[in-house]
Amino acid sequence: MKKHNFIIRSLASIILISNLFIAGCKKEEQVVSPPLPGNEFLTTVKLVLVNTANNDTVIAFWRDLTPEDSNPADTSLAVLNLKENSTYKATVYLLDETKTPAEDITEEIKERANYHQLFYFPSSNLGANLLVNVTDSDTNSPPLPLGITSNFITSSAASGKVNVILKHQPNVKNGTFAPGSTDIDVNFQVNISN
Amino acid sequence: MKNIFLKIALFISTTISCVQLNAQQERGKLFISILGGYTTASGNFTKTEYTNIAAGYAAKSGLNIQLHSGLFVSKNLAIGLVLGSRFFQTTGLQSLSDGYLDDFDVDSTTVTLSGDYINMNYLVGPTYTFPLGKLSVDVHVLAGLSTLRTPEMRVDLEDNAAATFYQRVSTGNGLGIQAGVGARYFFSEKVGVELRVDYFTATPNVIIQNENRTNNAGRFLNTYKQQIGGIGASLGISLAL
Repeated sequence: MKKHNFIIRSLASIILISNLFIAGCKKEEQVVSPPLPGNEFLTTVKLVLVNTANNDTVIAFWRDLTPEDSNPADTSLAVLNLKENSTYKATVYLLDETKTPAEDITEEIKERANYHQLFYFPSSNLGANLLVNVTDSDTNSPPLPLGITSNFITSSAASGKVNVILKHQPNVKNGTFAPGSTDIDVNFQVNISN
Repeated sequence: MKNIFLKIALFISTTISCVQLNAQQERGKLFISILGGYTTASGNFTKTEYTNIAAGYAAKSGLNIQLHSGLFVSKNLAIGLVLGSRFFQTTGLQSLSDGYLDDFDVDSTTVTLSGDYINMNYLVGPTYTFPLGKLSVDVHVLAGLSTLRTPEMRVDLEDNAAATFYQRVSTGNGLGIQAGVGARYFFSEKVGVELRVDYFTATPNVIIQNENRTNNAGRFLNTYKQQIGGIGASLGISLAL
């Protein structure tokens, strides 16, 4: 009987040790995906603002049609002339105008809303005379701001710039500006008058 | 892991108790075999499509080892026991990496997998044996606990360490069923070889342990419940006690 017990215990031990040995051989496999060729450019930021009081529409463009060289962007149309004490519903359109017809990147940003966010920073010259409140959000849990749509709220006359920044925050988006990289960083001139 | 050791200890003590009971009553016989071989898997478990949330990225073939024993309760009928493990490597990881690259819109991704799928089975059931001199052929149908342990996956997005997320090693249980036929040939009174072919099926329910999934984006599994069965062929040493 003792001999039988010894044999059974030995075989069970062999199985156990084999399992541990195979499981313990912690194999590691690594694969890398490099950048995809032919990525689109973000050449154009279009801001469309509609005055909620009278539906007056203000449109401004920031353009850099040669994003791969050092030529400065075309900011001649990057100007927002707004009325005092008004609320404007704003929508941002992001375009790749190196393609014909121009490609609208905005939809792609909406699809990838969970790790993108647009931030608006009015300059100190504007002070509290321009407030920008983002009105849309993503589908994270809890939802975080996206920034494709917003309200531009003006008070007294002032002039300055609003800095519009699109952040790409893959798996690090938390509603703050810091994490991730910058996809777009542009300025629009803002003139608030009577 | 502690759970597995407890189950193994339980199995061993049960087997030893059976032998002791057998000896006390001086009836019935026991055979015990240690086997190893090849096993297959199919279905979603072996698929490698990023967009298919059921795809398991497991290889279609793997290794199996098992302790197979039977305690005879009559001339032909035995209570069969199997303590077995099946091991499957992962495959097709490039599509996983490419999928995360696209879903997170990043310049590069690195997917690192550590370890294999490990399927452990603790099965019991009737075994019917046809003795043919030195050769005996048996058929059995066994059922019991089947556990699946998944490999660990790490996904790096570009070089931002804060964005790295993990699918940690996770385990789940389910009902396992094995049916098959085997032949044992004894060179001597006590020692022989066993060759068997078995079909195995199980669908363990694995709760996936995710870490640092900050945003709702990219392929995401919080459970994995797919059929992991297949056919296995194994060969090994058998002892008659």
